[in-house]
Amino acid sequence: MAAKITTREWMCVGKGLNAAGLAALVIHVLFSVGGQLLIKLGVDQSPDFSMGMMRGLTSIINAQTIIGLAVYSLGTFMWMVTLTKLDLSYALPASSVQYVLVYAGAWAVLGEPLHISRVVGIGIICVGVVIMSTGSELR
Amino acid sequence: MGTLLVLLSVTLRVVSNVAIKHGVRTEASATRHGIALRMIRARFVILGYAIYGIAMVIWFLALQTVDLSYAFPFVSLVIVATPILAWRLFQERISRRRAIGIGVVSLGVLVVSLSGLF
Repeated sequence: MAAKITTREWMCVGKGLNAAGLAALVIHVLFSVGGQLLIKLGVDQSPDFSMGMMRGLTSIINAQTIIGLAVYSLGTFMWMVTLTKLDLSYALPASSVQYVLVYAGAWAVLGEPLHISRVVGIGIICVGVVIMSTGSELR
Repeated sequence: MGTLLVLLSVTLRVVSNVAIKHGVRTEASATRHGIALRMIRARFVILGYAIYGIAMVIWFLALQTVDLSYAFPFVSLVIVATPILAWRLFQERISRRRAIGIGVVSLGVLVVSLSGLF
């Protein structure tokens, strides 16, 4: 007979780093990055909405943007799962790697240019996220 | 124009966060139903998700005119503005360390926004 899992056990209270939480975090990051890249790919296929608001809105709905939005939404859901299993002070700085991965993906997949100010800015953002989400007096 | 849409989308994301938090707070006192049902019933939660939907539509429009590598770093402003609003509206504390982090992230976004110039 399977033992009943208590809420405390499901939330991994006091468990520190655990495999389930890390897996959820990795899926969150990969789906968020993949979803954004798919959305951008889909949006790039539609005409500029300066040609008309309605035309812009309807042409935006295509296979890539719909799949991209679904993947990104799953990524957002996995962030909530992550936070039930890992401390925010670990999960938030670790998830800031997505700023780097989105740029890497945009450069490699979408062919976007490398700007020195973007590279430096993303680096500063990651440092800031680590500062704001770590330390003893978090709460 | 693209930058304005990016900022509008990010602003709506922050408003969405605050609305959902307010809805969850409002409904927390009701004890008659299960927690999931209570969260679904909260009008501010539904409003919050609706605003998030609008934010995503505007995000799509923004991406038609700007690079993803330019727009995406602006998303970090959500974790800058949300604690500030939570402090003003819900009296949540912001530690000195978090305030410094908020300043550093803002600086990073400012540097990214310069890539329109350099």
